[in-house]
Amino acid sequence: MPVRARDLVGLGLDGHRFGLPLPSRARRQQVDEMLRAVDAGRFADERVGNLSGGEQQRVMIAHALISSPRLLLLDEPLANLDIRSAQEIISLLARVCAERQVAVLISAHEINPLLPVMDSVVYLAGGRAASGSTSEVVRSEVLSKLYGHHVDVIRVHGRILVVAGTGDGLDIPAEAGAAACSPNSGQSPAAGEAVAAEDPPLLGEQVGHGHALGHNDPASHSAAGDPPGEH
Amino acid sequence: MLHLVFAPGFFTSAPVRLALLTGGLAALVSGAVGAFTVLRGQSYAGHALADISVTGGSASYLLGISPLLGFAGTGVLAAGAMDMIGVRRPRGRDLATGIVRGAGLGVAALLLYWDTTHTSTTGAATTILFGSMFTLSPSVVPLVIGCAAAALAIVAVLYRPLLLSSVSADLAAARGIRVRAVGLACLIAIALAVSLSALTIGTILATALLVGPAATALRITRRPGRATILAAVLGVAVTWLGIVLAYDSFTWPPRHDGWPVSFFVVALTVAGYLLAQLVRPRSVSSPRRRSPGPAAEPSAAAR
Repeated sequence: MPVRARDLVGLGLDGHRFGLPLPSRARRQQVDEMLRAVDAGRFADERVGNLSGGEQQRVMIAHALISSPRLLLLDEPLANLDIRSAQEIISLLARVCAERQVAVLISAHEINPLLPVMDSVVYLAGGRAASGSTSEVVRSEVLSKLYGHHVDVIRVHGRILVVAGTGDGLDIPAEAGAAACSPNSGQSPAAGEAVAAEDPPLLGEQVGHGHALGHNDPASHSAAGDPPGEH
Repeated sequence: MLHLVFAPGFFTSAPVRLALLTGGLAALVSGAVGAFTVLRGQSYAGHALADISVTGGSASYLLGISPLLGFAGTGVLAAGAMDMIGVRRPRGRDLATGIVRGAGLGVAALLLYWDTTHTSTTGAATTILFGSMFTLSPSVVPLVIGCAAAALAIVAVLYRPLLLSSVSADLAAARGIRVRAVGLACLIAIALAVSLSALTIGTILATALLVGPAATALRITRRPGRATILAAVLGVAVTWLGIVLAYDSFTWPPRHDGWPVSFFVVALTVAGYLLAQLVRPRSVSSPRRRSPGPAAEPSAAAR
């Protein structure tokens, strides 16, 4: 992609228009402001193709938000991102979309990084669905029933985590699994893989087919989990 | 002093003036359209469209019409065929291009054979393949201007939709852009650009003028708008310089019979691209600021 981050964000404003773009101070300021809002200012003049996955995602979000939408639809926005970048993108989305009064609808397989910011969820698994507020749906009983398999919902470091269950007797200490999957633990992803490796039948289900429905109400961001420090 | 650069009679020669006009216009259009060809990764499609125009060019000799009409006619038809086969899907793109190119060149083989055996035109094959800037008929000028205007209009009108759909067809579609129609229009602009270059430097070499100045310009600047203008300027520069050198070469030893202008244009294009490789791409961002990663934490704790 040999266009600059700045160009791509600008095209979010008027990319559908015909004719040559006229240089405009107001447009440039708007693009700069949007780039700053997603912390993309320092690579605004880099070519998009040269950016990392997380940086590209910031530019894409700026591209989508600069036209002031009321609803943002994101399909697997965290795919191919490492856990740190994924967490940065999620907190960025929560902050920027709250500021700009944008509702966000995310479809995702990996639900854990989304839990701190989700307001409500439609959880699809095994051909069935459960919907409601995050605290109603993301519970061991609800998810276990949905999957037809034991699923633990663990609270750790003020966050909640969905972990495939150990009901078949292959005991894995819950703490080890939780630490490995925690978005802010900083552990190597290999630890997370180890959990899956010990429990092969759940490989595909470990994090489930989650469809998370977020909303722009910052007050309810912590409704799903305990506030930090209270665990 | 000026005679050292411009051999006597350069500015008063009618063929030279015609070459400067048509060659310049062809290069201008090829450069501007070429920037989008390179941005969209459609260099192969551009090359294929140039190859296919051989078919129309060789047909034009049999029909007794202007070669440019033949080049442009088959080019636009081929662009439509590529779109129908599926040039817009990344996986089908090379396939569609290859099929259309193969079919076109097969017909060209037959028509070129007829050109050399059934018509009195000698050197038709050489003219079609390698161009003939100094032997153009003045009657071609209105058609050249028309094709150039059409190609430039497509690029100018669709500038932003083309740019966005070349970055991501999904983002473009999300913005309400008709990605397929825009892609087809772009292919038609490419077909017109290579047709013009086919007339001046030949069908085989047209790709050089389409891709060369554009690749050079994109090496020099990151800005899409500037790259488009720079590619057009570079194209015109190498073409005009090539015409000057070709005209001068009539005085060069040992044979004093002049070298083909197409050779000079392509040689200068390649030289320009190689020179641009010496330019280190500027890194605009200061060294990446990174918050200390997890790996840094254990060592901090150890202290």
